[in-house]
Amino acid sequence: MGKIMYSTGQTTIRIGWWDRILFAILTILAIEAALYWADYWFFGGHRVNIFLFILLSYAVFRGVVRSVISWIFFQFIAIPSLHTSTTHRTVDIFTTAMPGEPCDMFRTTLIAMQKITHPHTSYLLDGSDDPQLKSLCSELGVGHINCKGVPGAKAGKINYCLKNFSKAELVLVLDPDHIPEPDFLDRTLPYFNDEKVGFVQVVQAYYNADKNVVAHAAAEQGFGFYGPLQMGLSGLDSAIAIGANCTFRRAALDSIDGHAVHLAEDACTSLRLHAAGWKGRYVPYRASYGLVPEDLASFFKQQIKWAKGMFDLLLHEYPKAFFNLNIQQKIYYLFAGTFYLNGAVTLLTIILPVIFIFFKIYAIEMPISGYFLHITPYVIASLMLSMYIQRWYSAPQEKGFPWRSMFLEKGTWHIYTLALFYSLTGKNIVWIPTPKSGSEKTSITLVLPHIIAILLSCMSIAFVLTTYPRIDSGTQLMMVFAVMNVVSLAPVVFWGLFPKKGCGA
Amino acid sequence: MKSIFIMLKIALISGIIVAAYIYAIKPFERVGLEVYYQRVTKNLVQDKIALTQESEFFLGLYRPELPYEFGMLFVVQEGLSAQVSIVSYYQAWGDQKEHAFLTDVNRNLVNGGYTPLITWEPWVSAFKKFRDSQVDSSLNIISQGQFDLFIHAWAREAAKLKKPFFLRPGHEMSNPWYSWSTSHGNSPESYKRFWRHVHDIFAQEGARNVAFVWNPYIPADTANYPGDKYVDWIGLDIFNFGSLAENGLWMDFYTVTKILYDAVKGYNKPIIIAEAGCGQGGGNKNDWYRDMFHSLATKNFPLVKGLIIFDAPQAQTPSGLPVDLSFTSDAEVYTKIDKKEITDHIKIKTYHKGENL
Repeated sequence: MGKIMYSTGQTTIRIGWWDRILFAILTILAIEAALYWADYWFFGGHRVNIFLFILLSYAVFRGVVRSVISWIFFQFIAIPSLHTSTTHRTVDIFTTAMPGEPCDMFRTTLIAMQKITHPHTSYLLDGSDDPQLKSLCSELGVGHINCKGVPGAKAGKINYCLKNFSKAELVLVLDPDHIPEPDFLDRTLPYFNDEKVGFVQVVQAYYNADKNVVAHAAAEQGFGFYGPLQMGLSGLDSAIAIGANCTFRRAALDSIDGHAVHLAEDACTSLRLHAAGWKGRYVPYRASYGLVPEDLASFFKQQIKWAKGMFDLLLHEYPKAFFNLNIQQKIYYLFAGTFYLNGAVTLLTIILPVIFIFFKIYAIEMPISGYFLHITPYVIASLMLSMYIQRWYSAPQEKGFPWRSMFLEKGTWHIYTLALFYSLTGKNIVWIPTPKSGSEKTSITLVLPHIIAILLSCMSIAFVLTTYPRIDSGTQLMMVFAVMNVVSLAPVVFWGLFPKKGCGA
Repeated sequence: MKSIFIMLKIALISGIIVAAYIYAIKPFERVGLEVYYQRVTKNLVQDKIALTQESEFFLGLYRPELPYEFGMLFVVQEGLSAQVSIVSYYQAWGDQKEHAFLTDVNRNLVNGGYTPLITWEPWVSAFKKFRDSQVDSSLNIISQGQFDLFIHAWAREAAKLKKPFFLRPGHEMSNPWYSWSTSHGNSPESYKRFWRHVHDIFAQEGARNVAFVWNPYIPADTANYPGDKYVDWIGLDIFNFGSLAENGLWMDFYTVTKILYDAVKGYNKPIIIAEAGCGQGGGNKNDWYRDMFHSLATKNFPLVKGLIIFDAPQAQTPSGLPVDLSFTSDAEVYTKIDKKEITDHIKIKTYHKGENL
């Protein structure tokens, strides 16, 4: 880990010794602030009902623990230095078509695929044997492979093609909505000079992120991940494959019997490759631009798939792979697999204050001044850190306080909770490709749970103000939580009810 | 092997970070809080003199469920059309949570417009060290500094309340019920030393808002008077147990009060009737309360600036007999009392419905 300079075309990422030292100092200060907050919460003598206290503590400190873990991953941030490729490697590029996806989209993608400068062969894996796509392929010189009836969704088609048609040493899998840059392969190929590297991942960027506030928020959710976190993991040889835009070494895929067929096929493939001892690399380069959901309905559909996929991965794949993973991978996959528990946690933080207020059972009795006094250093420190790591983002437009994505994450709690329920009960959701076109219809049912939550919170506040003879500190704290819930859920309700107004971005 | 090495490294680094928290940050917090307390909080404490300067007469109430349930307090306010301004409750010394200064409770009281009167009972047997043991001359143990940490912590929290309130430590110093009484090996000298010791600690903590109420039991208790410098108010406990009393006599408010009042009026301190209650047998309870207010209205006792009704349905006489000292249970008590006299002559604040919670 030395001094690093990497040009992404839009910005130059600089990681010098002083950046690292300052970042490490900030991290230690932030951890001390987190300890200060935890010490007050757990050992300040505020516990009342121990069962509810444990539940509430989990809801409050889950985020703190996750932040600390991600700060630790950030310490290892690195972009491996480039070695000019001496050996020529053959490359195949795959993209998949599902029935019902618009033909125009394929024209744009396939043209861009053909423009990639490094010599390669392109394939369209067509799930419906569409004559229109067939003629498009022959026009552009792209191999059309009829995958009609091949089971296993996208991964099944990739494996079918690997087995029967593709002979190349490296395989790039592109999502059909992603338009690659011509230098895509020039950026990723040099890393395969290290024979232990199994795949190279690039940034997932979007060309419609500025379309409206939902698209902006959804894109924003990835900025921290496709940046410092992946760069940190890459420094630990454990970058994660995200399926779309990932260049795989064929030998690596063969060693795990092909691309994983799984609801979270990307994460599952990544997990299996890591368990088989392959290294993952990450390049903070925006090598392609795709589509991000533009409305809540399609965002929620995408998220329920991802969330259930990650829960399934944690419950079924992670235990199998556990002993073959190294320590950072063990921590990371647990960290990633539990991310979508934030839905259940939000449900807890909505319900607990209401229960406390209506039934007068307190988890904690803490003076409001003490609460703010002890949480403030942590909040300031974590804000400073999140501002600091933005210097390592792959594009300047990603910088800024990510308030949109914070609200959107909070506002997806019902979807994540549902996914958890599906996963625990073993129920299946049908695999559907993420909708790519924005239907700007108002749908109250999408945000109905939020409206109920907001009403309940408001009612509990009103209940305190009208019926309580005295408002002690335990009640005050619960009122603060209720107010915070109303404030954090309101934007998504607004975006759901007035999608047109949200398009001003 | 490699992973064990990494684990050790993680353990070492976390150990250093936690140790840094315990040895560097926590002490710094203590220093910071101390500086904040000395420089800021202390200056914001309001002086107890405000209680003495108050032009209105303090009407107070004791109920077993106070300061947690206020229903009966509202009944009194409405029944008398007078504002209750003091809430009286009792708290023992000790090292459990319930013995600490009740910050929340007291803040709620002062925010609601009530001044607390806390009767502070130095039962040393509530401390772990003296648990359930019969300690004689307990006041000497206190003066020696055994409980200074407790007193300091309590006094600091009291100062943090900032608003003035009444504190009645070691009341009825000759009542054999109490471990701080002369019946338990304490002397007037040890009582005075105890009182000054406690008072000095409150002064050190800057608790200028605490008005010390010295409360004799019988006229001879004046031997325990700690000095003008140490006493802000004098408290008197006035009871009529009627047929349950040792002499079996129905004693009116004026007669009982006169005896004690004359013994302490020479100190020229403001006086508060810290407990006033009447039993059932041997006379008419409702007349007794009516006469009580009447005698306050006719200025028999000009130094008396406040009175707390001791509304306890399940009390005991000094000889241990159960006695009903309830005030709120009988609607007739309100009809007999002259409300105009209360507000116009005694100068108790008029109650307007819905004024406070």
